[in-house]
Amino acid sequence: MSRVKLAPSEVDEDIDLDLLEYLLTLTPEQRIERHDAALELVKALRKAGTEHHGFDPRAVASAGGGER
Amino acid sequence: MASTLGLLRRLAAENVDFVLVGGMAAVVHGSASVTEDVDVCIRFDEPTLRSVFRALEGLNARERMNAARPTLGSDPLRFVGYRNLYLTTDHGVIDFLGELTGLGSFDRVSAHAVTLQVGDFSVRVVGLEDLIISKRTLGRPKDHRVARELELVLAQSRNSKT
Repeated sequence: MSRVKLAPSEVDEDIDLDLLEYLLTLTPEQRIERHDAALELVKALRKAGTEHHGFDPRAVASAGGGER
Repeated sequence: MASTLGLLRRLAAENVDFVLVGGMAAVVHGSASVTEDVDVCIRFDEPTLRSVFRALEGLNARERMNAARPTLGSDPLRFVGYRNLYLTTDHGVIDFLGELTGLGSFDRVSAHAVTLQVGDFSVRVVGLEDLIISKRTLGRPKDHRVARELELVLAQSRNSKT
């Protein structure tokens, strides 16, 4: 599939348009495979972070905005 | 290890009448987001649940929202009429939903679903416009972000057809 060019707007600053355009060149199967590989990486990095800190940093981050 | 393709292939092989929804449907439509579960919309009726049980056989499926993590057991009929069923399996997390936020029942979701070829099998996926509606209705910041990605994809899709 050929590369597509998305038309961004001013509200799209936090969206990686290059990545989105790349994903649109993939088949559904390739998108799922890429996703699962990314998820495995996320899990491995979380595990490394938890081992480094001795606790799950996500628990602290998510508690930061909570009520007392 | 999570295997979305493994889960979907099993559901397809057992002819489960389902529609892929949620974050993984967004991935299939082109979103760059990463999600930890596979969400599928089904009818919680006897034939569907029997086929779901066959599809999950041997995957060590357990109820995720119960602290004791009980196994599914052997009687699919006890889940007839449920609204949702949240499971962990050896292939990852999968949630069976009786309806989709912002859209409604399986029949509504199914009406506008699209059939996509995924390797050697096909999967019915919630339509792009419907998925955007659902994500916007959910309203969390991460859902709005995914919805915006999907709106860009939708615009591109429409442009390529004209």
